[in-house]
Amino acid sequence: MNAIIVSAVFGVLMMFASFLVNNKNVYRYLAIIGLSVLLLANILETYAIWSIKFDSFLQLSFERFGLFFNSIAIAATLFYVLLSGKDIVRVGNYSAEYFVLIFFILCGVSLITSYNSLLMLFLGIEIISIPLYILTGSDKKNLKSNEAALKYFLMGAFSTGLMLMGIALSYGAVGNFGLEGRGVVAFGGSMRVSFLEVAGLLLLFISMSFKASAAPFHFWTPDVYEGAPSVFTSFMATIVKATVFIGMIKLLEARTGIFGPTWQIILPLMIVLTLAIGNITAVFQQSVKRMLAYSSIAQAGFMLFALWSANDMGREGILLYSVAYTLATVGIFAVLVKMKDYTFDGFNGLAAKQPLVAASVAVFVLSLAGIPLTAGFFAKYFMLASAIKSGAGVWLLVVAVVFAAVSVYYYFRLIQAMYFKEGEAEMFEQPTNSFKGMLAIFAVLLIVLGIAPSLLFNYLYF
Amino acid sequence: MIPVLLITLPIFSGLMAFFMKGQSVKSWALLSSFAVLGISIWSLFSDANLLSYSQAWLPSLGSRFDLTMQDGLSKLMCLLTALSFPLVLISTQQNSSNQSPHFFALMLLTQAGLMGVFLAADALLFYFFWELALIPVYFLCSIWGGEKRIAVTFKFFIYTFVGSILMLVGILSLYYMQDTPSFAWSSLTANASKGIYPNWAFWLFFLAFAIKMPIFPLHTWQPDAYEQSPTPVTMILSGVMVKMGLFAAIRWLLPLFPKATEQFAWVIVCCSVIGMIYASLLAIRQDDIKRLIAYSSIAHIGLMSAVIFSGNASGMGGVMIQMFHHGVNVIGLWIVANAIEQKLGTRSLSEMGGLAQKAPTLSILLVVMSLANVALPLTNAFVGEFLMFNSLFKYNVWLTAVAGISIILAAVYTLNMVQKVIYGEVNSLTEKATDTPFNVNFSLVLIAILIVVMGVYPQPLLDLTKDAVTQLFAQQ
Amino acid sequence: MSITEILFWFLSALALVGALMVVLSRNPVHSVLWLVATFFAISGHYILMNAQFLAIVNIIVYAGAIMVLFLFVIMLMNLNSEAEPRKSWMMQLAGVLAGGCFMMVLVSLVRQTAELGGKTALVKEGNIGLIKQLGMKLFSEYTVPFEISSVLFLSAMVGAVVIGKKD
Repeated sequence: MNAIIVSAVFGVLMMFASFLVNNKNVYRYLAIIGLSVLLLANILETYAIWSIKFDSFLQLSFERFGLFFNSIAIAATLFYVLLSGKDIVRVGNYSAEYFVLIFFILCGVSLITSYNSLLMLFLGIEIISIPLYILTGSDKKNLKSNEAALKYFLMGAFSTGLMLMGIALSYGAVGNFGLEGRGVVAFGGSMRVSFLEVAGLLLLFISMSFKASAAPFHFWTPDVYEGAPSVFTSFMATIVKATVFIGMIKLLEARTGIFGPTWQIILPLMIVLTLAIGNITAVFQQSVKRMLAYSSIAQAGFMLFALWSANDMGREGILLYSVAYTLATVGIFAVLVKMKDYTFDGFNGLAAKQPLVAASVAVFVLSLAGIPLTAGFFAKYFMLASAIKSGAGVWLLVVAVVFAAVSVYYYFRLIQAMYFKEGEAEMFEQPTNSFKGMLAIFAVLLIVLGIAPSLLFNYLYF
Repeated sequence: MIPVLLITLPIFSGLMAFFMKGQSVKSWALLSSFAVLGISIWSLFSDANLLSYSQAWLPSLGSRFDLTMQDGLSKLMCLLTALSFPLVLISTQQNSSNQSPHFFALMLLTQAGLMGVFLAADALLFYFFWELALIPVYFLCSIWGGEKRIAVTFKFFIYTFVGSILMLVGILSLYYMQDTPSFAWSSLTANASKGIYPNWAFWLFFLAFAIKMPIFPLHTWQPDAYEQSPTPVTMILSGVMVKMGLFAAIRWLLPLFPKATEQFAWVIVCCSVIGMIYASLLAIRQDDIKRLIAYSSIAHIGLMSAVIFSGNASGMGGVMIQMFHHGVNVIGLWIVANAIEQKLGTRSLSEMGGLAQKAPTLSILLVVMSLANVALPLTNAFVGEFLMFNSLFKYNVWLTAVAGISIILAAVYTLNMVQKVIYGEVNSLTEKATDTPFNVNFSLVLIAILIVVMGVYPQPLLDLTKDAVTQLFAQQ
Repeated sequence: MSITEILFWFLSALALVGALMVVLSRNPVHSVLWLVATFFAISGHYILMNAQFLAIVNIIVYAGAIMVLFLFVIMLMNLNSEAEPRKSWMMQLAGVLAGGCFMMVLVSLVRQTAELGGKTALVKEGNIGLIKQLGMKLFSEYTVPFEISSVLFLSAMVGAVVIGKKD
C-alpha cells in the first residue's frame, strides 16, 4: 500500500508547505518531487522490492493490474503537473491546497485499484469525489465555476446516497462487505442469486456509471466540465474517469453473472446510448471545451466495452485506453487553457503561429479520433476486439465504429481551424520551450504506442 | 528486403523533407522518388527471396509486419506508384502548391502509405496502411486545394473513413472466426474455402473498397474532390489511389469470399454498368476540364470493377494491366489539364480555343492522351479494354451492350474536349498562350512513349500478371 | 403485542412520516425540523437494537450539530416557501414516474427476497452496537479503513478552507 500511504503523506506535507513557504513555484516543484517519489514507491511495490504493509484483513488486495494502473495514473498526473503546473498555481489564491487535493485524489485512486471490500470502494470513491467538488469550484470569482461545483456536489451526493444504499443491500444479502459476494446459492430448492444482492449491485453500478458519466447518468458532465477551471477539467475528465472504470471492472469481474441474461441487454443499450449522446451532441458544440466534455462521454462509451467483454484483452485495452485518452486530452486542455478564445474559431491559424503546438494538438486529436499510427487507434481496436472475442454481436461493433466516424467530424474541426483557416489564434502568453517540449513528448509517446502498443503491456506482465 | 525499402525510403525522405528549407527540397523529393522507381524496377528482375519480409509486430494480437510482393499484381501496382510520383513531381514544378517543403513531405508520406497497401500480407497491417495513405492526402488537399477545399476534402475523408472502419470490423470478425486466429493473408484465405465466413462480412469489406474505387452510387465524393484538390494530388488520387480499391478487391475480397462474390456479383456489376453510363453522360455535360476527367475516370473504373466481380481469367488479366495503363493515361491527361490551367488560368472549356496554333507540342500530346483515353487500337488501353469487354460479354450480353454505349460516349466527350481546346478561334484569353516548358513536355513524351509501346507490344505486362490470375482462379 | 413491538412500529411510522414531511413541506424550516424528528426516530431504533452508542452519536452529531447548522443557514439566507422555484409539470411527471418505478422495484425486492421471509427485526439483542465491541472492531479489523477515512475528512477540511476563506 505504498501509493495509498505515500500520497496521503505528501498531501499533508503540501499542507505544511502552504503556510511555511510563500513561493508559488516551490509548491509546483514540491508536487513534482512528490509525484516522482510516489511513482517510484509504487513501482517498487509492483516489483515486490519494497512495500509498506499493514494487515487490512483482506479489505485491500494488491495485484499487478491495479498497481500497474496506479503507475499509469501517477505518471499521468506527473506529466499533467509538468505540463500545466503553472496554470494550476494560477487558478486562485490557494495554490498549495490544489496540490494537496490532487495528492488526496491519488490516494483515492490507489484505493479504488486495490479494494477488496465494498467499504474500501466507498472510501475510495468519496476521497476522489470530495476534492473534485472543491477543485471544480476553485475559481471562486467565476459564477459558472460556482454553479458547476454546486451542481456537481448535489448530484454527486445523491449518487453517493445510491451507492451507500447499494452497499447496504449487498451487505444485507451477503453478510459482509467482501468483493466476492455470494453468487448463485440455493433458495428453497432453486439455485439463484439473491434479489437483495442484485439490487444492491445495480445501485452500485448506477452510482459508478454516474461517476464515469455513462449515459443515461451523464447529465451533469457538460456543465461541470465546462464550468470548472480548465486545468482541473482535464484532470477529472481523464485520470479520475479511467480510475472509475478500473473500479467497475474489478466489481463486475468479482461478481460475474450476477445480473444474469438481462445484462446482455442493459450494457449494450448503455454503450449505444452513451456513444450516441456523446457523439451527436458534440457535433453541435461551438466551444472546444464543451466539445471535449461531450467527447469524454463518447469515449466513456468505448471504455464500457471493457466491462462488457470482461476478458484479459479488455483489461489490457482499458489500460491502453486510459493512457491514450489521458495523454491526448490533457495535452489538448493544456493548450486550451492558454487560448483566449475557447471556440473553434479561436484556434484559427494556430499552425502558422505555433507550428509545434499545432502539430502536437493534431496528433492528440488524431489519437482521440482513433486514426492508425496513434495510440488511440489501438485503444479502440482493443475494445472492439475484446468485445468480439467475448461474442458481441457485430451490430454493436458497427454502431460503435459509425459513431467513431461521427467523432471524426468534430475532432477534425480543430485540425481544420488550426491548419486550413486564416486567423489570429491569440494566446494569453507565448508558450515556453519547456511547454512545447512536453507537448512534443506527449505526441511522440502517443505515436510510439500507436506503433507498438505491446510496449505498455510488457510492464503489465513482466 | 525490397518491400521494406519501398516503404521506409519514402517515409524517411518524407520526414526529412519536413525540416528542409527552400528549393533543395524539390530535388530531394525527386531524388527519393527516382530511387523508389529504381528499386521498384529492380523488383521485377530480382530473386523471390528478396521480395518478402516478415517481422514480429504485435504478437499478442496475432499480427505480423508482413510485407510480400507475392505476385505480378503487387509488382505492377508498386511500379505504377513508383512511376507516377516522379512524373507528377517533374510536371508540376511550376504549380503554386509545389513550393512548400511540407507539400513534398506529405506527398512522399502518401507514397509510403500507398506502397504499404499494395505490399501488406497481413490484414491488420493492410488496414493500417489503408488509413495512413489517406491522412497526408487529407492535409494536402485541405491546405493547397481550391476554394471549397475544406468542406470537400472533409466529405472525401469521412466517406473513406466510414468505409475503412467498417472494414476493420470485418477484419476483426474474420479473425475470430478462424480456428487458430491469425491476420495473415495466407491463413485468412486458406480458411475461406471452408466457407466459414458469412455474407455480411463480404459487404463490410466491399463497402470500403467500393467507396475508394468509387462504384456508383458511392461516387459522390469523387468529382468534387478531384476538382478541388491541387492538381498534383488529383493525379495521385485518380492515377494511383483509386487503384487501391480495385487492388484490394482482387487481393482480399475475391479470395476471401468466393461464394459471396458469385452470389452478389450481379448487384455489383449492375451498379458498375449504371455508373459507367451515368458518369459518361455527366462527363459530356461538363464545362470544367478537371470535372470532365473525373467523370471519365469513374466510367473507366466502373468497367474494371464490373469485370473484377464477373470476369474470367483473361478478363482479370485485362483488369490488371488496365489498372496500370489507366493510371499512366489519366496522369497524362491531368498533366495536360494542369499545363492548360497554368497557362490560361481557367479550367472552363467554353473559354478555350485555338491552342493548336499557339501551343502545337502540347496539342499533339493532348491528342495522344485523349486517344488513349478512348482506348483506340494501338494505344495501351485498347488491349485491356478489349479483354475486359470480351469477358463481360461472356458474363451477360445485355449488360455488355449497355456498357458498350460508354465507349461511344467516351469518344464523344473526349473528342469534344479536344475540339474545344485545340481548334476554334483564338480568343483574348488564349492569345498569350505559349508552348509548355521542358519539364512538362518531358513527362508527357515519356507517357506517350509508354502508351504507344505498350499498345503495340502488351505481352510483357500480360506475362507479369499471369501468375496473379492463375493463383486467383486456382483458389476458386 | 409487547412494549418493544409497539415501540418498533411507532418509531418506524414516525421515521417514515418524518421523511415524507421533509420532502413535502413547503417551508424549509419545517423540513429541517421534520428531519430532526426522523433522526430521533432512527436513534430510537438503534436503542431498540441495543446500540446505545450509535444512538447517542446520531443525536449529537446529526440531530444536534448538523441540523442546527442547517437551520442557521436557512434562516440567514431567509429562505421561505415563496423562494422555492416552480418546476414545469413535465419535470414533475418525469420525477413521479422515475421515483415510482424505483419504489416499485424496491417494494417488489423486499417482497420477493426469500431470505427475508419469516424473519422479524432483531430487537433487544446483539451486542455489536455497544461501545466496547465497536471499539474492538474499529481498532482491529477496521483499522485501515478507519485511518483512511481521515484522509477523506482532511480533504473535506482543506476544501472548506479553500471554499470558505475570504480571499
